[in-house]
Amino acid sequence: MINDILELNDNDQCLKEAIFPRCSDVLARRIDKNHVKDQDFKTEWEKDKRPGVNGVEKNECELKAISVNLIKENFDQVVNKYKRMRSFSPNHKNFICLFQIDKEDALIVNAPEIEDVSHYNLYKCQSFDINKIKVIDIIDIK
Amino acid sequence: MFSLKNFCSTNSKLPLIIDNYIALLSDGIDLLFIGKNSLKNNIIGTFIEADDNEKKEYYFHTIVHPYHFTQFLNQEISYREILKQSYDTYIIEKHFDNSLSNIYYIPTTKIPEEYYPLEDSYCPRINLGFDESLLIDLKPDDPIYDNITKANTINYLNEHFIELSKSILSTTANKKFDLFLLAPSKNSYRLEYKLLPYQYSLFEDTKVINNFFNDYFFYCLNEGIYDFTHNSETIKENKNYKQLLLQAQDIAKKQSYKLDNEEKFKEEFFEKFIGNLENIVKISNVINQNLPLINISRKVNRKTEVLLGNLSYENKPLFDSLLKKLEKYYQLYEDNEPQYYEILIYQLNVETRKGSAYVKISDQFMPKASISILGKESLYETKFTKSLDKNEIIKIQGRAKKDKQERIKYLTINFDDDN
Repeated sequence: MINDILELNDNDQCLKEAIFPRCSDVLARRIDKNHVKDQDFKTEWEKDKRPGVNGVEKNECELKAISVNLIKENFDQVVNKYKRMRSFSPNHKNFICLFQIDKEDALIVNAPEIEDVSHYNLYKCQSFDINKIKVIDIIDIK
Repeated sequence: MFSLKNFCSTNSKLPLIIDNYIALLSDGIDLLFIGKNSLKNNIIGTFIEADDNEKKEYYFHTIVHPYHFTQFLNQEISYREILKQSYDTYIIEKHFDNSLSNIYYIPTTKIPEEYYPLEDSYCPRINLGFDESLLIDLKPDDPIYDNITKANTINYLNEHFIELSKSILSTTANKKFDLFLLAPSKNSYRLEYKLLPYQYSLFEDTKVINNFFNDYFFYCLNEGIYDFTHNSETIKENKNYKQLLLQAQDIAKKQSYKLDNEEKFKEEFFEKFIGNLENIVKISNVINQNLPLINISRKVNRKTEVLLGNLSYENKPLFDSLLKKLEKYYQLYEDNEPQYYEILIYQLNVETRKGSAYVKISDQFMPKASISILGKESLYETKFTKSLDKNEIIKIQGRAKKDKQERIKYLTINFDDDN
């Protein structure tokens, strides 16, 4: 199963403590428009950023991951965090996509940050497809 | 993205961050970040938006006055207010692979309102890192401390203190933290630094790194110098030294640094420790009868100050002993007779007659060395101060102390004012 992860080996450090999301898990991610596009789930690695090249400071694990939040009872907190991000870039990603994903299609790794323990890094599997994401809601945060 | 065709493209490299890059907010793309340009000005950068068709990303880079920069880090003003107060900013256009595409100069009044950061664009609240800072306080004896001497002294201290701090941080195999000098306070005899990580997600580690950093200073200033000078063979068994080593190892492990060879880690830690003692001696070169004391303290919770230790005129004999011990440790050998050298002095204390210079070995190679000028003649308006003030290479006669690799570490210079 783990062999299917996009551009990662099964022994990769990035996947330490990775888990499959449950089908019932609701994930959140900021997106640009009120509908999901391929670009919303593109990693920085897929955009050809590489560690140490052209001043890129991030490492491989960070470049291959997609930032998401796992929603439980923390919905307001996550919305506030996204709004705070938006305050610096008001024209970028003004919508929140709440979605579910098949456990065969991705792995998630908890990557808590200050005041945001629900932050996860999502690593796409080979079978990941934007059309298979189950969108629950799209919220306008403008 | 709004049209940039009415704005000037520029070749200036000043808006580019070349050092001290720290991402403060990120969701894959860095949305808010800080850093320094080639002139060591502070830059605040924010992401504007991406153009998926052109495969380009756009950022604002604003060069910020040190005072406003500190206010921003302390959450006293928003980025919106900074932009409103700034006359201009730059738009950095990059390809998706982060390579530079173009730089545009833009007066802040021309930024379309919908692209302006919002009212609540305050620096994220970071509990741990931002609440603590390291202080260097100069305590001159004479309240009328010559302005030029003060400026030179402060620049020298800043340079050597940053070098010392980076060296201390590197003992933890940690490459993700850096030291930031905050804007000078009204009491301009103070240098204040914050230790910040390169990534937002590492701020939780800041407390541990800060503790190690402060403990290291505390040990060096209160025991380390004395221990090494008197008991260099047994210092590795010293309880406090061993505690520091353990802290460094823990931090290295947490950063996923491979500690396969623990013995090698311990050896490198010791070598850097010796080097750091040497750095402290260099810092102490500014101490004299007019500036008899430098306090090094830690500020916690943004207000409480705790003294870690000091460098004082009374301890000069101890520093001299330490220097002799270091020379023995490095197995330095001295020129039998004075030789001619070409040097460029970049720091000189005219009272202590000590400083630092680049020694010209070839046109491309000019390593640094500590210098000491013999004699009692005044150094004002001599070729030595001319070298310092005008960045000129001068020819001098002196004895160099070199290590086994023939690197010049110290140069004792005969006074003469011939050109």
